[in-house]
Amino acid sequence: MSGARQFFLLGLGLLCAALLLLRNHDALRLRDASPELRAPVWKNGLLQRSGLDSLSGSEFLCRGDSCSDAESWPVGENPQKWLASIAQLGVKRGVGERPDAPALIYTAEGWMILWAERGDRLEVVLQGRGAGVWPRSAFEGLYGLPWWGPLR
Amino acid sequence: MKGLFAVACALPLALSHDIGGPLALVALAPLMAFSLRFDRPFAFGFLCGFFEVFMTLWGTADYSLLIPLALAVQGGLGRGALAWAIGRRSGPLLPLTVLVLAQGLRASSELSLPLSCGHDLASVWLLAWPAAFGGGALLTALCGLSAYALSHGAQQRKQALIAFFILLISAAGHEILRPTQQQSVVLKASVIQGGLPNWVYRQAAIDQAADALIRRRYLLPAANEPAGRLLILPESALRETWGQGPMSSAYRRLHASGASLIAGLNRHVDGALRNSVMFWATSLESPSFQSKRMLVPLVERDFQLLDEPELELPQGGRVMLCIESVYPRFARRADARWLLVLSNDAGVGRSSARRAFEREARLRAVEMGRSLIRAGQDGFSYAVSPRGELLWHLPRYKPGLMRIASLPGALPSLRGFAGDWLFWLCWPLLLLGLRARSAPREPDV
Repeated sequence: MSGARQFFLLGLGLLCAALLLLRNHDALRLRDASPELRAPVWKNGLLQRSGLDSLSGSEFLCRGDSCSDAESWPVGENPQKWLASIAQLGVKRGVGERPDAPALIYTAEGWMILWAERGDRLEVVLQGRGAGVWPRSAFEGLYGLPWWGPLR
Repeated sequence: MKGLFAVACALPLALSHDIGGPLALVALAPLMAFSLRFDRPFAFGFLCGFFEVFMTLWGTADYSLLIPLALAVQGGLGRGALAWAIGRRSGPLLPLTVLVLAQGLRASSELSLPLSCGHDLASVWLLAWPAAFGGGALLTALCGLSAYALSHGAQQRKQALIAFFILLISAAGHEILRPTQQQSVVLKASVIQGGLPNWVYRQAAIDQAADALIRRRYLLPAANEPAGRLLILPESALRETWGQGPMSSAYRRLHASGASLIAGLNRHVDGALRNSVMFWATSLESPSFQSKRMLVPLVERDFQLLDEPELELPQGGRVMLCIESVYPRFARRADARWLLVLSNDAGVGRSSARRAFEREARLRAVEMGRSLIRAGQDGFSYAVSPRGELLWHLPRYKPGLMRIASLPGALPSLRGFAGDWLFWLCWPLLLLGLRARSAPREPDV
């Protein structure tokens, strides 16, 4: 094969590569949904939208008329009183190593709400960090931790 | 060096799958030209096909990297076989049949996806008309022949061009002899496109603002539509399970206000989750459902198929859910007067993959000779004529509402009537091609 043909092919390939790159370089970038709803970003392993970083457990789980008197998160290692204060009734200490979502879990970093366990992600609210999405692989770290459920 | 050239040959193919249109007619030429030169053309073709498909489908890696990898291996096998057939130098028949058969197998088999230069032509309706005669297989054959003519010497070029024009003239003859177009389909439909990226859905359960935006984008425009219309919402427009939740209440209210409703949703039946289409006619007390076939095992592992009859939509329409529209066999209902595709393209971002998938719906319209409505979560939502011409569409990635009063009537086609006849014809032709004598090879690179 002549050198000219080789160069032509490589040049053509480069041109196509440039066009492909131009059309796809940010294809999987998360985009704003509206001027008010900005795209989430990764913060220490949590995919989170701005505005959700201050969400507390009581704000998220409150099922009473008002939870303004309740603590943001349980104090101590037993959350039963706190759960009652936000009208989460019928919640019991979970049995077994594997938490069943939706559940309240006590971790070394603090309390967390595992709201949903999906095929590709976990939807969580973390004490001090707010609400966001964790990768599915993070579930392994929740085995064996004390948990309470079902939340509603 | 062979790997570098294989990637260089794969790039025009990947670009063709991305932008569609006339590039498809020449995109195979570099692969064919270099298959003549390299020793072990199968390996060269395999590498080329692998990169072609992987680059096109990398956008699906968000679900799992296994998807683009598995499909790339299949693509590699197809292109490897094509390169091997070219390397035999026995004329255009063998490569042509191998190309069409490899493509047809990828279009007919679950666990595979039909990416093809031929199908890329569907993005320009004036280039897609031969599909009414011979389907995507004929478009693939035309692309293969034009690339063959470009990449071979005078004698083979002549053979390829003769075959090209025979196919084209046959397709033109089919156009002339086609039965007259049937009566228009009166629908009074409103297609609602939310224009929301997928992340909004992924966190709606823990993000009230996201949840509220989804409802605002779908339920508000739906509620504002006059009574008596057919409201069409895309796949998983509101991502809740059918039953007692707020989505179900909202759909019940819409139905009670006098609307007919078609919506993609999830529902639990016998303890398993089904990705389904719901159709609820104004005159009926309860809705009917059609569950989606499980075509992508890794992504759809949460879903199970329920064996139930296909829905019949108003005015004799039939519905395909999302990726079902990529497989020609799911559009094969000769009694359908029009076709509907509900989709959620937002799941693969704005990558080449979604553009290639979307094009398949237009090809189904041309093949079957039926008007088709496509409702996508953030686009591309449109209505096309039985010739694949865009009649109305909504801007991509933005919210919108498309009102359709009527659709052009069916325009019966040989492909719609006889199925994928060219694919089946290629099996005996393959045997003929294999019997042809090979020409001596030129020196390797």
